[in-house]
Amino acid sequence: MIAEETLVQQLKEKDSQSQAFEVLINTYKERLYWHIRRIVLNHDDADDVLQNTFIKVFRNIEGFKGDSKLYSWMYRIGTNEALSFLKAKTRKLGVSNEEMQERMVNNLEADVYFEGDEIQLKLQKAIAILPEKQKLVFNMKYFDELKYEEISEILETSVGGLKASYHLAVKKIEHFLKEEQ
Amino acid sequence: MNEEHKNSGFKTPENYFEGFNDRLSERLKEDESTLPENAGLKVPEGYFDSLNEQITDKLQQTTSTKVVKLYPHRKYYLAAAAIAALFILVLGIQQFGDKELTFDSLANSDIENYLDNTDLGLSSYEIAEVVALDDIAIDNILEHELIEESIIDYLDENVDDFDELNLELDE
Repeated sequence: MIAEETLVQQLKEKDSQSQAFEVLINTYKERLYWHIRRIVLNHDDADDVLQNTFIKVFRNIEGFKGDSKLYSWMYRIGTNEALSFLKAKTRKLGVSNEEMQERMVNNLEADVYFEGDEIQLKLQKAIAILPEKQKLVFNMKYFDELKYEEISEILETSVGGLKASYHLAVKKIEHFLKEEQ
Repeated sequence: MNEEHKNSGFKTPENYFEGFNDRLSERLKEDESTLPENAGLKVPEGYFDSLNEQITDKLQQTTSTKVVKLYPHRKYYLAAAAIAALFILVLGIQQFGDKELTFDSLANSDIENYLDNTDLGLSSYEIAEVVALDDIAIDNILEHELIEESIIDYLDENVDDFDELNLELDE
């Protein structure tokens, strides 16, 4: 795999830009897709947000100083894009955040790209009622299997705070699943 | 399931994944609180194969589309507004310049009001993470007598069932 610094350098140079962008997409498309998909839940929305994320990355690569890792930076852009997308959609529909989350999970039942069983649907319902930050931390830790240090760099939050958020999220989800039974 | 798995340097016993689903199903039956291993989400067939092309196309489209400005003179209005704002700001600084705003000049009620009405997104665990034990004024609780009325108000708001308190009648 190509070194990150080299890739960033190539992305900044006109001659190597398009080829490097191809490498960038190939390297991160699946990881970013799943991260975004778990926030927006619907495939078409995830596709939109993912494409916008890559376009933003490409347009702003000049400003990338290398203070954080490239993938952390991209995850951050992806996260912001996904959350902004949801906020815009919520505003457009004129509903509250809670209602929006409820609608999104209810739509999963009829979604052809959701093949989860009953417990997986319940898990999504449980995740939907978590506060935004706990939801992000839970998804990144539980499904993306990121380390706390990595999540800390992406969300710019202390590792201690993340551990507390994850712990609370798991407790709330377990409680929800038990209540639902 | 089109899930992706990260190589985090760990390895598994041989054939671990082959029997994983069965073991997980068994476990799910045993332990009711076990969370499912995946989210049940999937993608259309071949989605990731065609994604690169779609992104490159979209990028070219956005690059080549000429942006037609809806309000061509807007920048002049903005410039005029900026100059006016700057003028007002300078006047303001001259008028109120000697009063330096510090944390102490904030009224306690304003701070309390801010904390009450703002969703800081911090749980008590997170607050405990950042506030050292020494900084928490425990003495305030231990050495100062609380007004009885405050105690009753607190209990009234926070206790659902007074029987839980096991109060003796003569207490």
